[in-house]
Amino acid sequence: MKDLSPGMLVAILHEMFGFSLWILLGVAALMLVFGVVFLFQRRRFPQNRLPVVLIAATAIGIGAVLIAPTLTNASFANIRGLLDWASLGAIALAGFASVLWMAYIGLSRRS
Amino acid sequence: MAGTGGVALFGRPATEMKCAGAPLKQTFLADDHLRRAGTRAKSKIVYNAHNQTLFSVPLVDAKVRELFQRQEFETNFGHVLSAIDPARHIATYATPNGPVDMKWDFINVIPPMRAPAAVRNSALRWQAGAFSADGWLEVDRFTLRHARYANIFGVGDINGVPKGKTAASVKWQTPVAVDHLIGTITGKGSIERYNGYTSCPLITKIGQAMLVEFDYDNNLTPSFPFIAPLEEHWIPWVIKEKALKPNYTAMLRGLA
Repeated sequence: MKDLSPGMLVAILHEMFGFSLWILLGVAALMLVFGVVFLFQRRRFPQNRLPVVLIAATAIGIGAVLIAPTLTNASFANIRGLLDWASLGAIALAGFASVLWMAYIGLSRRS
Repeated sequence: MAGTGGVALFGRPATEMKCAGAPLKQTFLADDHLRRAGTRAKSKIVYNAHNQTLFSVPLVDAKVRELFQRQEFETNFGHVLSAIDPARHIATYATPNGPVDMKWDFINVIPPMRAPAAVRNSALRWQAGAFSADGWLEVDRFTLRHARYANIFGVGDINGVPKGKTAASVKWQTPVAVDHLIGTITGKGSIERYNGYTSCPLITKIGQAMLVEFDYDNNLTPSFPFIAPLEEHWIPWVIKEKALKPNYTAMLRGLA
């Protein structure tokens, strides 16, 4: 458990997800690059789409939290203490932020 | 038994064993299964400890005793399984007061463990002391170098060292042994030491576990400062459920 290097983490994730890991990492890298490039291009997000995107991001964040214990063969009865709730909070935030990021890439336009 | 209730017996052998926390996990999991099946009230869970402790690390032992009390397990100390009669469902335990028979509806038996014949029947085994009876490899507990054959090193379950029979131990023993091996070949020596690090994700029910890590000196050595080692949480369960087997496989491939 000690000294978990990035290389070890990738090896473990590869055992968990197989070839899908490279697809997931590839998509994530592309999203990151597109997002950063669009930010430098000062692309603007259409304000009229913002409410829908925020609702979708919130729904995905909540959905991720609701499904997380089930995916690990656990339930909400097993969530105890700050560590578990903080982890669920991080999962919600990750879901929320991912949708916002993807929406920015898909919907933003040059000003 | 899950559907009807009854008596469930658990315990461990008096020998060294692979992952000494495993019989405790089995006990907790059986309890959880019975509660989910609605038959816990009609059941009795008995844990027969081979000595006077439930876990070799005092802090963890105290916590496990507390949890056993909370879950209403009956605990007997100094009970070592000596015979079993499958037809009559009777297990016989050697105790300081003589043999004791116990009837069971479910029993989890962990066989006594010993070194494989290649080591047990060789001069490499411990010649005296606690590790000699079962033929474990006589290595220095810190350098993992054989006590009498300087060009031989040991890693993993084969080593006659305290604790150290888990995948986590192997993971931390291997770099030390390799460094000493290379140091010996190059003549530069090595100052690397294995401190007995062992990890035991102790499942207390389906969905919860404690991430217990410790060393030779019974110090708790948590890898993650934000995970309290003696508290039941979902996150250690997630680590156990999702990450440990891939970690183990990656380790066998030499990647982790």
